[in-house]
This record gives sequence, structure tokens and C-alpha cells, in this order.
Amino acid sequence: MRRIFKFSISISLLLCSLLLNAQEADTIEARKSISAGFDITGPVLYALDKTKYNYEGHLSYRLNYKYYIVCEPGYSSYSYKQYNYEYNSEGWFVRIGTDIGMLEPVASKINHFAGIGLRYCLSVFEQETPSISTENYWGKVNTSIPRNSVHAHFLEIQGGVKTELVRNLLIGWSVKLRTLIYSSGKNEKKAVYIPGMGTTGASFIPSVSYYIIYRIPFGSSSGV
Amino acid sequence: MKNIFLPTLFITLLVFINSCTKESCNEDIEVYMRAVFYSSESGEKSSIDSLDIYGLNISDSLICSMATLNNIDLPLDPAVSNCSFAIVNGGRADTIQIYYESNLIFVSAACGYIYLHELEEVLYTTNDIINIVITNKPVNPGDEENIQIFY
Repeated sequence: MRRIFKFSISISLLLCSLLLNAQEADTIEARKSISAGFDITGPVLYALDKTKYNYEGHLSYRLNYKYYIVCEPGYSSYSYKQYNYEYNSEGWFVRIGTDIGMLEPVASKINHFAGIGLRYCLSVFEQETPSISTENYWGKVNTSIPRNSVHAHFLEIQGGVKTELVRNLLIGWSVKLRTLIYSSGKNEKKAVYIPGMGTTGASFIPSVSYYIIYRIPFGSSSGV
Repeated sequence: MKNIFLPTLFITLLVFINSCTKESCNEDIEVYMRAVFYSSESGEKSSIDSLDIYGLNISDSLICSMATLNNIDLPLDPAVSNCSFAIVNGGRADTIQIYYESNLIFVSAACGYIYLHELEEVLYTTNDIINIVITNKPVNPGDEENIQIFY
């Protein structure tokens, strides 16, 4: 038993030293690149629930192995109906920020991504509440709120991975948390749903995205 | 098996997060104007016996009957700018007419919309009531006193 233990330790140390040597030798420079893709969760959710659709793109510029500048434009439409009101919202949004990679700049990992992302987001949309019904002791009151324009600003933090499936084609997913910082819709015009952010109400709104991305390499090495 | 595991996990996570955002209405959305009864002699809160209270110009309007109360929550009508109640105490009736402004607000996706009110004026007869004072003009959900009725 003792021999097996000693042998295992020796083998482990040997493997570790080989791995370290391999990693040092493996270190390479990342090429600058532009990536373009889209999030497929919107169409998937639309297939499950026809009351909302969300189409969003993903554009990123790789500065080096660690930092990316990211822009995610999109369009969203949402309808909601329950016993006391109906609500519709439709509009554009854009998220701008950075992705920070956590992988080492080695040949085996240079075309993949695992890390976190930070975004500032702007949403400009129109909303309406075609019917509102309230009831108390005096009876029922029916009213509506006509179409009105709203803009909202929110922040997003995300963590995710993207892996190169075939040359320059990546797939990946990310888990996101969003928080509203300002909305121009107040009182009765407070937004039920903000395009690009989701249903309001909670302090932090979770979301998941699944990306298909094409990478266009260009230029010289960025210098890791 | 491995090929279908990740897509299944992803769709499950997606549906789970999507369903998590559908909250239930846990907020207090009942809006009443709270009237508290006071003794005009001592200025202290007091209970009034054998009270009948009902709204005027509405059928089946009894709010309470032969009740002993030291306060009452009165509903205001958001469709109009004033409403009236009769307060009958041992056969003697008084009418109070409340003027207010109503404002629609959005509470949450699950709760929807409610009307809040802002009290403007209270008119009243003085058969049994001595005085009425507005102490808190905004009428919101909760149990805050809005008017004092002195007997």
C-alpha cells in the first residue's frame, strides 16, 4: 500500500512538471479578430411561449487573449395578459461592454473563451396597456393607458464559455444578471417588461443566452 | 447520451429561469381611507357602539352593522372625485362626503394596477359628529390614519 502511494505521488509530480513545461512552451500570441453571431435563446423561447420574442446579435472585437469589446444589439416584443390587465411592449436595445477572458494564452485554449462580461445597456421601446380593470366596493372601473415611449438604462454582469467547434465557428452560453438603474416610465407608465432586460419587479433579473458565433481573424498578433 | 445531455440541460435551465420571472402578487394592494374615532371631550381615541355604516347611492351598501369600532376603513370610488357615507349611531345619522383625487399606479407584473388617492376635503353633517380633521392626505395601502372623526 505504501509503495503504491509513493509511486502515485512520484507519477503525479512527474506529470505536473511535464504539464508545466508543456504550458510554458505552449504560450502563444492571440490574433486580433472580429466575431459576429446571434443568441438562439430568443427563437427557442418563442417556440415555447408565443407571447414574447427576442432577437439579438453579438459583435465582438478581440483586443488580445484577455480583453474583448462587445456590442449586442437586439429587438424584442412582449405581450402579457392576466385577469386585471393586458400589456404590450416592443422596442430596440443595445448592450455595450467588455468580456474578460480567464483562460491562459496557450495554443490549446487560445480560440476558446471562458470568463466574465460587464455591460451597460440602453433600451428604447414603446408600451401600452389596452385594458386595466380594478374592482372594489363601488364596482368595477375599466381604463387603459395609450401607447407611450420609454427609455431604460441597466447594467449586466455575466459569466460564460465559448468554444471553437470548427475553425472560426464558436458556440457557447452565458448566465447573466441584470439590474435596472433608470427608467423614464413612472407611476402608471412603469414598464412591466423592458426589451433586452426582461420582466421588471425583482432587483436582479436572471437570464441565459446560447450563442452561435463566426470569428473573422485579421491583422497581426496582438502581443499577449 | 452525452450528445443530448447538454442541450437538455440548457433548455431545462432556460425554462426554469423563464418560469422564475413569473412571480405571484404578495404585496398589499387594498387601498382604504382609515377613519379613526375620537372623543371630543378627552381628545383620546374612543370606541363607538352600535354603528351602522354604508355608502350612499349604491345598492347592498352596508359596510358594517351594529358594530363597536374605534376605526373604520372606507373604500373610495376611483371612478368619481367624491363619495359619501352614512354613519348611523344609535338612530342618529350623519353623512360624510369625501372629495379626493385618484391616481393610477403600476404595482408589479403579478399584481397589476391600483388607484391611490389624495384627500382634498371632507364635508359632514353635525347631528352626532362634532368635527372631522384630515390628518394624512395620501390614501395608500396600509393602515395609516387618514381622518379623525370627533364625537
